[in-house]
Amino acid sequence: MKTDGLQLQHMPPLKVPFRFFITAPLFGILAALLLLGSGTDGWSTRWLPEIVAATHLLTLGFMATIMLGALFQVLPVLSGYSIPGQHWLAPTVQLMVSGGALALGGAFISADHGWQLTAIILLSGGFSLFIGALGLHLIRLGSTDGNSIFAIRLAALSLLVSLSLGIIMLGAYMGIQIPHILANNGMTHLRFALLGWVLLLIMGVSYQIIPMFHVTPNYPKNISRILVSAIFMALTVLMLGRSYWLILTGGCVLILAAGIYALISFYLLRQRKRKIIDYTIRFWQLGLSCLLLALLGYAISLSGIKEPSAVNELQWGILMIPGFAISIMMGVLYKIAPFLSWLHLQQACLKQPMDILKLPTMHDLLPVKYGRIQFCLHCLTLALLLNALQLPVIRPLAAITLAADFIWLEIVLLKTLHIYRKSMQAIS
Amino acid sequence: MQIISQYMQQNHRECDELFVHVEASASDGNWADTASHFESFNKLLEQHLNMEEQVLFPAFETETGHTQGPTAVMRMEHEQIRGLIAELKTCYENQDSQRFLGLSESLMMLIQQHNMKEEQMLYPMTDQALSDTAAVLADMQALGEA
Repeated sequence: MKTDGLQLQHMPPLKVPFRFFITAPLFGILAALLLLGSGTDGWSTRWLPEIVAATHLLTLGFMATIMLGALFQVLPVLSGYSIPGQHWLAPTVQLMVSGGALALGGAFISADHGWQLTAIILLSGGFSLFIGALGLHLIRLGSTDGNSIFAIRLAALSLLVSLSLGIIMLGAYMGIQIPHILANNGMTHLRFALLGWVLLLIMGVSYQIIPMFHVTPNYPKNISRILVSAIFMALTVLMLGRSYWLILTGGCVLILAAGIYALISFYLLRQRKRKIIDYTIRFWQLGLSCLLLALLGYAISLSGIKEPSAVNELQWGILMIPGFAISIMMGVLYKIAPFLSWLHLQQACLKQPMDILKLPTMHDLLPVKYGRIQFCLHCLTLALLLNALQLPVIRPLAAITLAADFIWLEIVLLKTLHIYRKSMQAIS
Repeated sequence: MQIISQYMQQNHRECDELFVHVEASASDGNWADTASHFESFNKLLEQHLNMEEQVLFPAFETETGHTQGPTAVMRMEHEQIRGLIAELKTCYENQDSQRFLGLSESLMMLIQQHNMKEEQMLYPMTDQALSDTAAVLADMQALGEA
């Protein structure tokens, strides 16, 4: 029986995930300011530089940063093996991805080659380092029947596809001669990013944490794996297929599989035994509702009933990015940020057990009412963003609310960190 | 066969369900119910921890020769759980609902993280490593019924 190297107590230092969590909302604020700066005329199509830049600040600067931080935290705990070289790797990856997201934002706004090249170098370097370490880690885990690990593997593969296509497109944008078949892959890049990397990762995480934290029944084992495989296969078919029927089949499978996942999740959350007030649940329900609406929009466009307009495309993006992905990430952050802080404080008390009485609780570290404020603010932001597409006059207000949403998240995370540090000083 | 995994996972779920009642009654401010639910939960949890510490872990350690490996960490986490249980008890005796609910959230997360490690790694390892899983299971059940 091989147990060498397996360390069940392995937990990275708090600064490893928090470095990512604290930086991420700053990109959300920056995206909101960019939208505010674009005024009331600038939201007509997703191809406008400000919209493309704001989208990437949200997806790379906020979402990818949170996801990387969470993976650096959770993989060693889930697998029992530390990520190789995580002490230098985590800050390097964070600096490169954050710097890359910033440079990419600058590249879309200015169309400057310097920004573009910097973005290519930093993003490809940062993600390659991470995927390399993650890949080694996932290979080291060997064969596992865990559906979470299975989904995370396919999510990582989707990230690789999406990232490669993104970098190729940026190269073409810079004027590098790239064959048309490689350079003209915007939809594949977008699908693998949002329905591959983001959706599959959220699915993998939810298989683990929804039953655990909310005391619900488990996700059905076989169906969970089939859904993940179906989504990945559909994405691959849509990437390679050129015929109408292949695109229709791939799209239908994708919509069905993602839809079934959302409905099962809703059902499980309704079945939860733990009924105390919990805004993480509300965020899950909000995020899954947005996913279902986005899938409905995709189904309508696939059916040919209505050709998607520029506004529909933007609505789809709002439903998928701040609606689905960011809602769920905020909900999970409100759970794991106070828990990780508390766990580190508790471990510090192991040598002086009496100090445990002085420790703040999870609710002291992050009060429930802060979650309520965040949830209301986020709902308001989504409602304003969706309506602002038709009502240009409320666009500045929507952008300001979006900024407030991320500013509040940043304040709350910093407060949690402050209480953690103060308590740690009191112990030592 | 995953005899140990299945049995112990079921045991975890039963503890979770009892804990949900503890939290719900504390949240409603019903301290009499909290006390009785808490006692049932604590009894089942303690039984579970004992089954591991007195039967499962020693059997695994004998079979693998590792006494400072995963089982040592699990024993340490059991002590953390027991520490929190003692604190929660003080809270409901003082009827301090705010601190109780703050601590119960921590206990819930701590137990879930601990269970995840056991269910994903330790139990499958014991199922694989133990030469007579049925005998170990019978010993654990006997301890549970005692």
